[in-house]
Amino acid sequence: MRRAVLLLLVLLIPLGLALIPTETQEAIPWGGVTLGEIPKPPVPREPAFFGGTLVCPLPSDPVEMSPFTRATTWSFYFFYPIYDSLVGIDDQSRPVPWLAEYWESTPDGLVWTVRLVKNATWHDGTPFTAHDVAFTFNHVLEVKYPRWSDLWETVEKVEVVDDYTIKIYLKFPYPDFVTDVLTFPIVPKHIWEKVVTAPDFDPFTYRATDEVLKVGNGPWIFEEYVPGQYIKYKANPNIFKGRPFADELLMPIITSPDAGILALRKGEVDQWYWRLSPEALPTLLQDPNIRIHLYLSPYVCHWGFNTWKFPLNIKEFRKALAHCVDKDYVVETIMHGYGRPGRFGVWPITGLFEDWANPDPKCGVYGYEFNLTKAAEILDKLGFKDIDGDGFREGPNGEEIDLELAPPTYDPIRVRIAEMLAEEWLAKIPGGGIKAHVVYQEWKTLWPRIKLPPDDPNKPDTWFLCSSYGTRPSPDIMRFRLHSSKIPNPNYYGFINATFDELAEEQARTVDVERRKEIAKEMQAILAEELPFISIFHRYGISAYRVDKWIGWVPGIMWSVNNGWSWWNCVLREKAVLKPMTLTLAEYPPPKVTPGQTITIKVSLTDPEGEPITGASVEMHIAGIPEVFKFEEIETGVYSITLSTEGWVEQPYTAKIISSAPGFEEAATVLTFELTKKVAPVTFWGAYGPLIVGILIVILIVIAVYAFYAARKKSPSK
Amino acid sequence: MRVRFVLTRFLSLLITFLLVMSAIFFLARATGDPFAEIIEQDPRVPPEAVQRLRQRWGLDKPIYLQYIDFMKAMLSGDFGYSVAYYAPVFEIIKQKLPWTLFLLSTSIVLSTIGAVLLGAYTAWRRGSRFDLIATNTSLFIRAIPHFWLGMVLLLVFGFYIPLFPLYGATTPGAHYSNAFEFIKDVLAHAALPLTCLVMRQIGMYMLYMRSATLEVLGEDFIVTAKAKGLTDREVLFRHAVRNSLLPMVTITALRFGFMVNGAILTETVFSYPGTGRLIYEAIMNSDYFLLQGAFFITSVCVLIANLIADLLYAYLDPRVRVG
Repeated sequence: MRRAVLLLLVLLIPLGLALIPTETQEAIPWGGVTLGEIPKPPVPREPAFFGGTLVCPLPSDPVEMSPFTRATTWSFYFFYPIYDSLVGIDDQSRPVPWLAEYWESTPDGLVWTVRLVKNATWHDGTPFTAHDVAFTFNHVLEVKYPRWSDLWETVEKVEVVDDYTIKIYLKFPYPDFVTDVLTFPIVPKHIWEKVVTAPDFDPFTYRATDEVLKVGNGPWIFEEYVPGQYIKYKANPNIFKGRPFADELLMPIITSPDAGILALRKGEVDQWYWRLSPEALPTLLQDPNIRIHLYLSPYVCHWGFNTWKFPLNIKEFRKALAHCVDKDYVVETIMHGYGRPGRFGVWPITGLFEDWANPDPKCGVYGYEFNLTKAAEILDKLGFKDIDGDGFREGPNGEEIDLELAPPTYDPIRVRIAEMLAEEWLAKIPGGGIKAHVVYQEWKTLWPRIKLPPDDPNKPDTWFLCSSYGTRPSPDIMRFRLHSSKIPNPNYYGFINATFDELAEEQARTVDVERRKEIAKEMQAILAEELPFISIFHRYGISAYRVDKWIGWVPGIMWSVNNGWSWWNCVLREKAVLKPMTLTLAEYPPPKVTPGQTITIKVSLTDPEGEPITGASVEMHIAGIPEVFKFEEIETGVYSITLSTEGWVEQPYTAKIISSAPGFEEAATVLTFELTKKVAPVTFWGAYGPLIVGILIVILIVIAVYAFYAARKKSPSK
Repeated sequence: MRVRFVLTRFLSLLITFLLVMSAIFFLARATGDPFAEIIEQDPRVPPEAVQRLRQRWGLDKPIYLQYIDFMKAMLSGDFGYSVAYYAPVFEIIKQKLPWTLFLLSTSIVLSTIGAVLLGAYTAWRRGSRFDLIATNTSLFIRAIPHFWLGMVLLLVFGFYIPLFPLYGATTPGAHYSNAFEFIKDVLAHAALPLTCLVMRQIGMYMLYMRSATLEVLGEDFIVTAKAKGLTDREVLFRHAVRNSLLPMVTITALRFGFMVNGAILTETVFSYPGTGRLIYEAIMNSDYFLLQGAFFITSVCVLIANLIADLLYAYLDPRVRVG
């Protein structure tokens, strides 16, 4: 007996020792993420500036009516003003502490301690505590809502340390924990507890009632929602970070983009961003009170290949195809400049998170430059030659090749790309083209075909798809879309690469940001080498907003001005008394500019006393050119820019120059000029020809009508 | 005899109804898989989670079991839950139905009156300048896409001459002190969409009325009526129009039947909260249950409208009763 006790002791002591940490491990402050900044309002958040109704329309009704099932953009917009999260995302897509005051993780990234702010309350006055966070997380862990999978797949358990501290234990290290999990909205325990324990509660079909929605913790209190018509919120006077300047936030539902743009021009709404096409910009730019904001969308519009099917299963063949895509033509000509060419490394998207991008030119936009001769060389080497002399190449064993190109018919840009490939680029490879035909299928027909397994004969050979690659700097999206376990949906390409799979799994568990970047770069190199698809372009998002009523809009790099920061920061212009600024054009181009000519534009800025304003920011938007031109201050109060019109399309241009300086109102001016070749001398017929012909036609019509009636009168009718 | 007529009509109606219901079931399923889209939108959603959603909506079952479920549900009047809205189908349709019914019933009544009067008058004055202008204008209006007509109306009467609001069915966020103000607001918002619908519908149905009247005007009893010395107006409205109204009865009844489907394009252009867009989006989302519910209501309405038209026909035209 005693021996047994002794044995037990001997066994237990090392176990006990193992449980006592030998050295206290240093926690990582902020979990190692780079923090952003909360966008600042134009004036201090004081009662003197409060007032007004901000009108930000929605193009559709919110669909899902619970923060847990929300999936459509409209439902996100609906819940965004009501429920705040622990961490916010700033206008540069970086995390900022919000309801969480501070957080840290253990070095292995498995345990996260989050400290909450102490002065936050729910709309009914109940304090916001760690119990609410634990309740929200536990409810999701229990139900496993599809759209909250980041949370329930990674979180092991949640532990309330005290009212304002919470510990979150993860199942495995998760590098995107802060941006993907802590950004979920938190719901009030005292309200939702009753909801989720109700006997008839069905998590998937629950629709929050007005009473439930009225208790949130966001800057806005829900007031009413009239389906199909509008949603109304009022400012929350007790929000811990300071209330919004506007008294009310109104979201009318406007389903037609044309009516939305008219309402913006009329001043009935304060911003519009949905389906705003580049064609509408010249008119909008002419209005001195309307500003245009271009933002980067996370969609990779690509040419996808079924990599299991001959000849697309040959890597070198896909490389030959890569040399046949003229991305510059797509962006400049088909998209009128309102897009960016895609990278062969796929992620990160051109223009975003550049520090994650593999600097190897092969992974860049022009990794395989547009060069049909190079394509021909590769095809020759592979044995693809035009044997029967029909102008198109056959396979090495004489196989007939006819690639199917399948763009969805609703998108004219992708249809045009497919047509260019079939008629021009693939067809005109020297020494014989590659035969291809465009299949015009409507999305509902095409989409199920794209999702077929790669060995299904009904799957298209190639297709054109725009897929989201995420709004956060996380390469995990490549794993979710291209890991071999994701075949056929969303790895539609049948892409299998063991090294890629391993790297994808490794980065998903790598907390060290630098190491993770290295892995992400290797993954890009593999994609650029294997080419399961070719990323062709990304669209620009366009939003327009009025500045005569509200100032303080926050244009995000990845979102329109219609966002939570704008709603929070917008202040009535008449309340925020700002000094007027006078913008004078000192030098500007003549009305007719010859192509290639260099133009200089110079403006001077003065305050009401006529003193020059220094340190202002002056920029110019030109309709038809997505680039924003920044002026430089060449002497005190005088700003200038010189640009070459080389390569510009010959057409009239409308340019808007906007200047802004702290403490001053914005000033704007519009100038127009036309890019045209030397004007031919005006001849008599050139000037009056159309007029004379027009008058002749009118006279002839009058005679014809008269003759018709005269003839009818004479004829012996009844 | 009359009872038997009503009974046979009713029975054939019932058979049609069952056939239509089966068609709805399979047609809805032809719009694709409602849950497959989730993974493309957000590839992080695990397939198991999608599978759970399928189970929740009973879409994991074999198709014949789904069919039995569907028939049971339809007969008990339960349309199930919308896949996109995660809510009872009837509740969603109910939100938007009043506006559609208001807009469309008003436009049908107005346009039918307009079409009957114009059609009859143009037939009476066939070959006149008025007939020429009216017929050609109606053809012109029929030929232009009505969303374009709507956009032009918006641009002219909403923007350049701001007489009417640009969007919606009421002023967003407005509170009314009395019913009169509310009615005024609703009418101001309905003015442009109604104009658009009525113009188009008059254009469409005036020609039906015109040709029907022309046919009747050739009958002997018109000559008799004229010979009796009746005035033109009496001949036209007491004798000709009454007889030529028969085809209009069927058309109008059917239009009332299809009312639930709304007017997609007009609703979209004027941002009018109606069922037309709802059904369009249901097709785009492959929302089987919402589609089934909406088509169920539509087919019931159409069949009832048909029945009413048949009975009305029999009442108006004694010749039909025999057949």
